[in-house]
Amino acid sequence: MISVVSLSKSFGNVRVLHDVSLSLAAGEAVGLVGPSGCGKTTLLRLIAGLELPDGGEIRVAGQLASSAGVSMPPHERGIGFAFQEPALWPHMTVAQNILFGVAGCSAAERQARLAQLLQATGLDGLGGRRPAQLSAGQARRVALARALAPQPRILLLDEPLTNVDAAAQDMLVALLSQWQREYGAAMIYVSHSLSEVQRLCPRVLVLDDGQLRPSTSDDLPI
Amino acid sequence: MRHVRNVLLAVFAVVAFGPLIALAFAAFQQLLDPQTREQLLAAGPSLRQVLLLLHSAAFALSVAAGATMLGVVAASALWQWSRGAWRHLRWWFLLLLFIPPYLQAQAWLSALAMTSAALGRAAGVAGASGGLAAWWAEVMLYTPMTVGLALLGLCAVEPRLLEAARLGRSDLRALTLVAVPLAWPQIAAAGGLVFLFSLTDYGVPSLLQVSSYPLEIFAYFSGGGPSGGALLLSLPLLTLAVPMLAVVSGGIRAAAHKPPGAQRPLQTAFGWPWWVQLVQHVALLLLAMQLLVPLLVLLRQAGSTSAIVRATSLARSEIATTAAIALAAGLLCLPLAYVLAQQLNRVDAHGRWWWYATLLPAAIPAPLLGIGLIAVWNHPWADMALNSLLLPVLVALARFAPLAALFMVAQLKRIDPLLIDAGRVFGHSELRTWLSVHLPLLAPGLIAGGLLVAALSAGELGGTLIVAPPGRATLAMRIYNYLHYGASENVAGLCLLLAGTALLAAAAAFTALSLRTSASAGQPRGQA
Repeated sequence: MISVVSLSKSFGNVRVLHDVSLSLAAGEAVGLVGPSGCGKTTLLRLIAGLELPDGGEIRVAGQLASSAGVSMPPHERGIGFAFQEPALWPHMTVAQNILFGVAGCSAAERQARLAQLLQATGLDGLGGRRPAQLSAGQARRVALARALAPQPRILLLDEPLTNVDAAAQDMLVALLSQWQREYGAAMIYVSHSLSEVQRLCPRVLVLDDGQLRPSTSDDLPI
Repeated sequence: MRHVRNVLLAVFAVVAFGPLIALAFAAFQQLLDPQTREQLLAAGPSLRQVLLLLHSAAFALSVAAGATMLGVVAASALWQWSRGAWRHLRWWFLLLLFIPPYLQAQAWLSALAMTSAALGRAAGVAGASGGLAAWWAEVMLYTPMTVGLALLGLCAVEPRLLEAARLGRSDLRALTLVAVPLAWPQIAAAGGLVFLFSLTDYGVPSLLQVSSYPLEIFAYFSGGGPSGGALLLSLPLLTLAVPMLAVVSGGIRAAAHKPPGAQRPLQTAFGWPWWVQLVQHVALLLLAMQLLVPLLVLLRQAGSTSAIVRATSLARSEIATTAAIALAAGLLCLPLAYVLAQQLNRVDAHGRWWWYATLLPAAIPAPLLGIGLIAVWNHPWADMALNSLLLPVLVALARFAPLAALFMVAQLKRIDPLLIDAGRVFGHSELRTWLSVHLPLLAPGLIAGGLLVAALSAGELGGTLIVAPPGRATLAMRIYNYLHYGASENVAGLCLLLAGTALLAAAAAFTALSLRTSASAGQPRGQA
């Protein structure tokens, strides 16, 4: 589903990613951990088409999506992205935020999907609220529901459980796990916390010094 | 310091609103006096004038709609120029705002006449006068303003909100569903400002032989009507203009609080459909024409360098008068604009009212301001003031000091409060901290504000025409008279001189602000 080959990216003189390769099949979940500033977010943004690589290439469902000089528009990649910050549109309601990327289905289907996601994320009854009327944890859940709503073939989750309380975290982990099984999405889950990642992803990679490596017992949390 | 600030705020209030208060007082006096009462009440708008007001409002609305639509499209194109030198260069079209409106209108008038002649048409669509020509000239005139505010609004949209939208929908949908709604306060302010300027201006419509309501006010006073009557006649116009300030102040406030350069640019280019790109290119072409048409037409009409030199030497007295007014206004506006900017920078509940008060002069027709100043100063004890350049300087201060304040509040926003606190922590007095820390950081805003007020004062016409002392005229007055009572070959030379001077002053101001922006905003950083 995703194929990243020899990807490199620098910001000025700072080399963030160097010769990174990664491949994910449909339905596969990969956890990505690493220290702050190691390039985890940059890798997700490159896959989503929000950054251009300096070298290497990214393929999505077999199609060349990014390479030096080539960039498939982000919305054509079939990606659901939950950012580090919720990034909710303040002029839209919760329902409008969630349904923004849902296209090509009837109004009844859209409403059914909205109701399903609101219930699954514990946001029942909040569809008419504006983002400013939500708590940080609720906003985070709306952002996650928005990423899931279009039923994307690829899910990129950048620390999606930050600011979410423990009970809601369990609920969301169950939702993500069920969603991924049901729709066969490939998922990259970024977090600082190895234990959080291991709840969802059988395969965990560590991004360190601009390069990817499999996690080892040395990376296990104490 | 607080006392000085309060005194300066009082001075601004007297300069900006004193004329209106004086007119209200005069109207009250004239109402009580049986000899003037009838004349005063006759000033109330007749049916013809009410219809003219409605026509002027409809015209201003259509100009605002045209300029706003064109502005948003051009801004969406310039929005992408966010890298390298283009990041600063894309703002330079704003220089056009400082060329006096009647000069640009005159250039379009000539260009339309030339086009009409070249196409072998008589009057009509491409004719050089009439409603359509006036509409076109005004839309082109105010488009730089709408582009500027729309661009400020788009640049203030948080990139992460836009990126989230780009993942779900096409770039065009992201623009129309997310970016434009989020930039709407600034876009609405742009439309509101154009409406205000178009509604209260009589210079451009009169050049193009279109009747307008503000011209009625000027004509009423010029015809010997009592000053209180001018206020009475203006009330319907003010009733339309003042509520628009609520729309305008909200958007301008949002723009000033999010100066350009505060957001990192998007990392991947937009993918617009071909027809959007075509419309964007047309909008940019029109923006370029707005710069090139006046320049080329004036150069063609001026003929040669010697003609420009001759025109300049013939207008030495007017040039000296204009320079004196511009210099005085440019310097005197600084303390007033600074204390206003401090109030605008407030985040408490009173801040909003300061924004209304600061922008209110934009809703007052320039002739009414001039008539009000005459009402204030027309006393035997003020003969010296009436015969000096004081009143034209006061007109310039009332009209343009608020604009300088807007520049300064944007500059104040860029100053890190910690730098000021650090100065005070190290034991300096409030005054010494202000002089050694605050003033150098504010200097680009002060220089820019002063230069811009000087440039705008040099081209001010609506109020100056009424308050200029006997035997003294400004360059703008000389040009306006030439245009109305038979243009000569000198007029193009003088227009070039005035436009060139205004452009130079505005360019210097922009350079000061650009340098400061790049120094303080830093370079965009990537995320890791």
